[in-house]
Amino acid sequence: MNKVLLEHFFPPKDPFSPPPRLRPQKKAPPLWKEEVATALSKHSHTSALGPDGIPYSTWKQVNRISHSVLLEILFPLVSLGYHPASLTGSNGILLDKSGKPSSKSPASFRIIALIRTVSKILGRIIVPRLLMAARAKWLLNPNQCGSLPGLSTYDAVLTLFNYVKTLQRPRLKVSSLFWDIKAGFNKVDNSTQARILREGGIPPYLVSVYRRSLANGAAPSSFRGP
Amino acid sequence: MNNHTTRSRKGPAPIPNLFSIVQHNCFGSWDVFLSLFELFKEATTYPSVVFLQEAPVRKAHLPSFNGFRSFFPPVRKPRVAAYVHISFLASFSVLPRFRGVDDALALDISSQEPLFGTSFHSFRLINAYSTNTHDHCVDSVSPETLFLTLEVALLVVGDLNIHNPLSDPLSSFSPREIGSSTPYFEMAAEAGFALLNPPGEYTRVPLVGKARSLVIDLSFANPLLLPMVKGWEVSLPLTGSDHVPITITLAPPNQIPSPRRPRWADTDWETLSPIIKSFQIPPAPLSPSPTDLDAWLAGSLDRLTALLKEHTPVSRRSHYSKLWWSPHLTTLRCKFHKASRTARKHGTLALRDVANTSKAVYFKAIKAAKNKHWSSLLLNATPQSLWTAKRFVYGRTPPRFPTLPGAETPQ
Repeated sequence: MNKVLLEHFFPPKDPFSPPPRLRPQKKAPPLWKEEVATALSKHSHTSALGPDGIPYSTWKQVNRISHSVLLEILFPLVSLGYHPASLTGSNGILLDKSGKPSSKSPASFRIIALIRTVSKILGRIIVPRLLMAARAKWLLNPNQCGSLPGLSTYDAVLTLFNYVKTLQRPRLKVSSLFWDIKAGFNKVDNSTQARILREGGIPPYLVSVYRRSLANGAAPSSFRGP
Repeated sequence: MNNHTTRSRKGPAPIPNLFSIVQHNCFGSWDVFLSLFELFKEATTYPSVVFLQEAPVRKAHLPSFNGFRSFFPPVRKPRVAAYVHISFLASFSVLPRFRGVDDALALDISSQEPLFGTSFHSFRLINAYSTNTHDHCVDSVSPETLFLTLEVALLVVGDLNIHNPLSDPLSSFSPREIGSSTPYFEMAAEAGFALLNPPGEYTRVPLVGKARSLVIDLSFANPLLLPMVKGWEVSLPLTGSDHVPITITLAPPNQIPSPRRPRWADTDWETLSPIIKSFQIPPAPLSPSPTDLDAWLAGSLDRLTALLKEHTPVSRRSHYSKLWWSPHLTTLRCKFHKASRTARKHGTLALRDVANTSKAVYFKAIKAAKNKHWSSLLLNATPQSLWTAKRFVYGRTPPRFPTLPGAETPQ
């Protein structure tokens, strides 16, 4: 069972080896206290805790008392373009999917990974920067609605509806084909993704942090027995 | 008592203090026997004990397998057998017990050292193969034989050929089937045994024909053994028998108490504020190796986390928490409520029986847990806790002065 779940949720990927020395990235802009505050404000007080056991409410209070603490911890990671291994650990929890009869198939489970809160804060800082850069370089498909702030499934439905109506107007026959790519997120090739970002003109420090945040993670997972 | 043929087989030995027990109905077939033992070569370790029902017999002897020693009742055609790994025999004393019957055997396992990290020095395993005789009216192995009330940890495994909604809630059974199986489950409940089989997990799957799949290979653990049961699974491949091999894992119970949770809402920020303001993060190395950067970050975060935790009180045991409660009771409570809900929803007689039995098992387990805790409290009473025990028995003394309406003091 463990083997099946591992293969399903964590398919084997090419090993990623970091460089022997990290150099400060010249194009990495400084980290502002407003960025940290915004990143913290997006986290709920009641989020489940990761391996460090520190809730966001505590980090928010620490940041209110002194901005320099989180800035001094996070800025070297941004400027060096590195996501350390100590931040990639997480606690995995397997949840049963309701209505799935067999408990032997990995498809009957959903996994959530509770990562360290500092790692999530760093992620909340990097993602807006990455999004802004990707928008500026026109790397986003105009029809993409997933994982983008301000857009939702409702917008995706409206876009599709608009396409269909536009084509039907000149009396064309229109068919919609829906694809569900099974375990698509698990099987994304990170090196290809990083290459696309680099070729698209994304700053190297962002590509580097993003690439390394996905590498060499460990998630001891627990699930309820029979 | 053993060894008819010898084969040269080598494999990894069992891991100490992690006992793996396999039970399987061999269907009287040598091929099934060999398939089963060949499977262990693929596994990371050999099981400590293999319990067989309907083992193949030739001239009153059972087949042997290198690395295992067999035990079976001294009758012409034994129907149950136990194969114990030799490395297990080297570490533990194994005493087989036969009662002159061909369908049940017990192994008393003892050790000079405490077992499973507990105070027990011995435990018992019972293997049974019960068949219906006299036109399905009498079972060859009675429930009294199996579910003994002992002060030792006891595991009962076997092909009992009984059908009950408790083990297979989704199937429908005839009143006769339920009637013949109920004494087993009632007796098990009386003695505090817990069924290890996940409800509805089939253990007999017909290879041909349209016969129904069944849950008849059952495993029960008594309350003393239950904390040590780490797993019940049917992960081994089929062997050619219509029964599936079952693996039961026993391991030391997790006695490491979970760390007390910090109460983050009650952090003493007044004291902590000046400390955090003056808290200095050491500067990061200029062009570090990934390991150096990792060590710097981990060190900084550890210092900060330790500081935060130092000024945060930890949670205390609630006044209402029950000291006698156990995870086993939680499981029984879940089963009881689930059975009750299902019975209320569908309202069939069989489901109501299941709900009643689950209720009886749950409440008996609570009673047993309370009694055990009370005995333990009295046994380990100190001069201080003795008065607590007395207060439980006699209750609080009534107030000496009656409460006078409107008066602030007794005077």
